[in-house]
Formats: sequence, structure tokens, C-alpha cells
Amino acid sequence: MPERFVAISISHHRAPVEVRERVQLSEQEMHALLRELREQSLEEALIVSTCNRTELYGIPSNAGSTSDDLVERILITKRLGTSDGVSKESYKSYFENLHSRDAIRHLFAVIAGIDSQIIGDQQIFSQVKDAFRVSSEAEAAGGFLNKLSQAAFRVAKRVKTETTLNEGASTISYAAVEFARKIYDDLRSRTILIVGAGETGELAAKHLVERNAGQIIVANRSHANAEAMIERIRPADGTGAFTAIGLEQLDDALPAADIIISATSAPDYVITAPAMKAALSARASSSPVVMIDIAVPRDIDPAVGKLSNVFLKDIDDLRSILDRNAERRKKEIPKVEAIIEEEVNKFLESLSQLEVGPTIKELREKFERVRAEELQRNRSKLDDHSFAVIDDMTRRMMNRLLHGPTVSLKETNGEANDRLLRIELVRKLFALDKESPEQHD
Amino acid sequence: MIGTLSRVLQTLLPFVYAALVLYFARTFFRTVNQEQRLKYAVPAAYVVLLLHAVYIGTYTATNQHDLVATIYELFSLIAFTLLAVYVFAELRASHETSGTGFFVTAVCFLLQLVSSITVSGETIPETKAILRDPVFNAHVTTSVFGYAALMLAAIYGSLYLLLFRAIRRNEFGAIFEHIPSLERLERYGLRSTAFGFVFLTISIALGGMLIKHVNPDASALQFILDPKVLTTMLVWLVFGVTLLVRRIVHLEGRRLVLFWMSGFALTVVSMTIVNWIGTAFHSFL
Repeated sequence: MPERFVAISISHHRAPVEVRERVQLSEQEMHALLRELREQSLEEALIVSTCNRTELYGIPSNAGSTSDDLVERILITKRLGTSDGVSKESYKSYFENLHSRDAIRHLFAVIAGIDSQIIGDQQIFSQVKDAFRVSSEAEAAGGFLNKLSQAAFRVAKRVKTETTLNEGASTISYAAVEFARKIYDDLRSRTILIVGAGETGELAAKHLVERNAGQIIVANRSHANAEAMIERIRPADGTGAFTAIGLEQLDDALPAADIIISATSAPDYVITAPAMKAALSARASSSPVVMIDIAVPRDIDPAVGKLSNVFLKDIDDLRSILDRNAERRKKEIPKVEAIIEEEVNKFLESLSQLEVGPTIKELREKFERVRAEELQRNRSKLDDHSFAVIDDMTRRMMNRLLHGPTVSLKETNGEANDRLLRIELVRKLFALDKESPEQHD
Repeated sequence: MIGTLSRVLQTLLPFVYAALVLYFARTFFRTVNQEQRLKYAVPAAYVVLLLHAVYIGTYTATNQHDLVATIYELFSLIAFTLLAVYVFAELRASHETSGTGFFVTAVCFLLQLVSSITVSGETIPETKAILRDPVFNAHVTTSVFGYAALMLAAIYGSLYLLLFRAIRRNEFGAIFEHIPSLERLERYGLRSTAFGFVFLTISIALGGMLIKHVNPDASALQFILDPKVLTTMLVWLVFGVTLLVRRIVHLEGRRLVLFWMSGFALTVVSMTIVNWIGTAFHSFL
């Protein structure tokens, strides 16, 4: 079965974002497509669709189904290559086809995070996990995909515990939060001021909330937008204190803030050196103030960084943290690849063990059926003694002829892939998968 | 039998400390799964402390005095107390992992190594019979505990200043990556300072009780003006003030660390001068 496993993939490696976003499937579309594929061309199917990739994995139910057909199905689902001015062939050129072991290895590389645009990206794990869930809900996952999911999750777990691939920040907003935590790691007792209710500020705020930030003040030119952002980041359990203020109240909020993350689109400095100097004088304690400016153009006057007890970092400073992390992650890739290779072997090994028994059984049953049919056909021509002799002779003949293939199938030496190939070969040679009652006649 | 056990442990302890250093180093230099890796830190430290305590007990039984007669004996006692204070100030109290254990255990290892190599079961002359006095031993032991705690606070303070400088200079290398946050270093440092202050308070009180016992003619003024007592009182005062300003003036961060680091510098300088000019341990002895 694994040698029939195929994957088609369109990803950031080959396709630009404007193509990827057109191909990306919603969960609803995934459900519909999986059901359709399950009914028409695939025994089992899985779709992973994110902003960086759309991939379809499956086991074709008949030899006629090709990877090209699967690409076609996705394009039809998305109504691409017809009225959008881009030809189907053009879309198809962005797709990559993978088979058998390569397809399994690819899925493991995806879930491990080494195929991601940001190496070590942790979000992909939950996205692949969701893909397996959707496949199961659409009744497109069978025994093979269930085993594959277990193996894939094991790969992700091993990568997390045995390597440093997932460690360290990989985005600016995450780096900002990680940097702040190098000064204050217990955010519960800290007051955090987020200046700007845009996407970057919100992302940083979400990371802070995930790390149990105690008090967050969102300052924004539009008070309503600040409140809306608070509603989006507020944890479901109701913990933490959140306040929305206008930018005109910013100077009043500065003295209480231990961590300030600024990400507005303002053309001028939002926090000036005199304002910060005044805020430091008004502070109740002498604990340091962490200021992170992730806006371009900058929001915080660089002169603020010269003030005592202030750590001011801008986007370039954070980028050096990201570069360092990226370098470290790259060094981990060989370790991850070794884990993947090991797990691919284990997976194929477990499959071959599962498939060898039923194959031998089916092979013997087929031979026995042919033998019984032929005996029955000639029964009237033989007396009892002759029948008994031929019955015994054909049985022994059958056993001797099947001895070789049985031993070869049970052979445990060599690669799991070779054993699977042997099983597949026997099944093909003796047409074990094509058995139907009509063919017996 | 006890003597043999004492000698075996004396040889064994540097290796045991070395193993502990390696255990913490493994965590410090690798970031993978730190919590899992530090799972055995507290039990491992307890085993080392237990072995060291047995060594102290057998050594005391064999030589009729605690590890306080020579500076090299004191090294072993300092290693023991430093590890003990570390366990109680950080390891047991913290639910999070930290890379500081590597530095602390490395200091303990060096102290114990020097002690194990040099100590040869000192015999105490009759004139120094005070060394067998239990109150005196308690006085010295609490004093060593106090100074060990302050040494630990100094380690935390040094790490704080190192990290502070690295962050200011945008040096996001090994120090930035492996040393715990400034907040935690400050917290652990303060906890160690509090330990040190408590032990020094007990030590000074026991010393005051002891003076009449060893020298009935010595006056309270003589006690206070003794250079060692004077410097200890000064150090005690600096650390007491550190704790006080933290509470009252809300002094925090680098300024607070500099405050307690100056206390430690004062300890080192004053103790060096006093030991250099003084002939007896205390002037009234």
C-alpha cells in the first residue's frame, strides 16, 4: 500500500504567494474535496492547506488515477485555470509530485518544520494535526492514514525533545516578547504597554497573553480599535487586566509600564526622550524599563536608549536575534533528517509486518481455490482411488510451489521498503487485489 | 573504620562534585528539554550534600574538631554550605530551570578539590582547645553559611551584571541565551542575601555569647572593636541595608545588585586586610 501512496504539493519553494493564496483551501472546501476524492478516486486522502502550502496525500483506488488528476481536482474545486486568465498548465507547473517513500518522508519533513518557510515553525504541527482531523471527519482516513498520523506525530515529538529546531523566536513580534522575558520572565506582575493596535502589536500582545501577562494597556489613536484589539486578545478564562487608552493619554501611562512595545504607523516619534525621562522620574521603583520599537519608521526616539535603566531595542536589534536563531535551526536540520529517516523506516517496517500475514493467507487461499475447482471439474472422470491420489498429489505440489514465495515474504532481513516491494510484487503477479467472484470461472 | 570512611569520602568528594558540575553543564550548554534534564538536579544535589555531611561528621569524629581549624578545612565547609544555600535559595524554591547551577557547582568543586588535596587531618594543640567547643563550632559554621550565602549572592550579582551588559550591547550570544532572566537573578540574589543576613546575625550573636566564655576579662567594647568582628558587623550592616532599601525605597534592578555587590567587595577587601595585619583570629583570643 505505501508504494501506491502519492502526494502533490504546491508550496513556497516553487510558487509565489499570489498563486499559493489562490490554491489555498478552506476547511469547508477540504471537507467537500476529500469526500469527493474518497468516493471517486482515492482509498484514503489527506489535505494540508496553509498560506505556504497546499498538499494532497492519498492512495489511488485504481491504477488510472494519476497525480495530474489530483492537481486537476484541486484546480476545479478552486475554479482556477478557466476564467482567471491563467492557464491550467501554468498552475500545474507549480506542483510537485511525490511517490511512496518520498511522499511519506515529505509529510514528516513538513510536520517537523524543516520544510517551512521559517525553519522550525511550530504552527505547522497544529495545521497538519488539523488536516488529519478533517480527513477523519470526512471519512477519508483509513488504517494507513491513521498509522501515518501516529508516525508523523512521533516525528514532531522527537524533533521537539531531541533537537533545538523549535527553540527561539522566529518572528519579530515573538522575538520582541522573548527579549522582554530575558529581563522580566514573570509577566504576571508586570504592566505592559502596547502602543498601536495594528497587526504586529496584536501579535505581540497575543504572545504576551500566552505567557500570562498580568496587565496590558493598549494605546492607540483610535480608542475603539484599541478596545476591539483587547476583545480579540483577551483570554477565554478572563484572566489578566486589559485597558484601552487613546494616544493622548500615553505620557500618563508611561511611568507604570515595565515593558513597552510600540508598533504604530505614525511618521514621527510617539515616545520622545523628554517624555520618557519624566516617566522614569515618576516611576515608583527603580526596576528597568524594556522598550521595544518594532515600527518602521521608528516610534521611539533613539535618545531614550541612552537613559539609565532603559533597554531600548528596535527592529534591527531583534533581527539579529532572529538571524542567530535561524542559523542555529539550520544546524539542527541534519539531526531532524536523521530522525525522519529512522521514522520512515520504522513506519514502513510496521506496515510490512502487518501486510505479510494477510498476503500469504490470500495467496494460499487462491491456490487452494484453483486446485479445488480443477479437481471438482474432473471429479466425474476419476474413480475414488484416482481422485484421492490426485488430490494428495496436487496438495503437495501446491505446498512445494508456495514454499519459496512464503519464505521470501517472511524474510525479515533487508530494508522495509524491499519487503514491501516483494509483497506488492507477489500481490501483482498473482492478482490478489483484483480477485472477484466472476474471475473464478 | 570511621577514619577510613572519612579518608575515602575526602578522596571521593571532588569526583562527586565534578559529576554534579557535568550534570549542570549538560543543561547549561544545551537548551533542549531543559526541564527534563534538570529533573534530577535537586535529588542529585541532596545526594552530594548527604555525602559531604557524612564526611564532615566522620572527619569531626576522627579529628575531634569540625572543619574549621585551617583555611583548607574551611574550603570544604564553604563548598558544603554554598551548595546547601544554593539548593534552598534557588533549586527547591524555583519551579523553573536555570543555568546558574553550573557556576555554583563549579565553585564548590574547586573549593572541595583544594581542600581534599591539602587537608591531612590536622591535630589541634591544647592551646586551641576552643576549636572543640560546640558553641564555637556553631559560631564558625553559621558564619561560613552566612559568607557562603553572600558568595552565592555575588555569583548571582556577577551574572546579572554580565547579562545586563550583554543586553545593552546587543550581544545576543551564549550569555544572553543561557543565563536566566535579570528578574530571576535579582530574586535569587536577594534570597541568598537574606539567607546570609540571617546566618551572620546568628553567628554574631553566638560570638557575643562566646567571648565571656573564652576570655572572662574581655569587654563588650573589645569585642566590637575586634577587626574581624568589626568587618563582619560592617558586612552584616551592608546586607541588612540592602534588604531594607529593597523594601522601603523600592530599590530594584541594577542599582540594587550594585549595592549588594559592593557589600561583597567590602567583605573580600576587609577580610584580606584583617587577615594580613592580624596575627590571631580575633584580637581578644
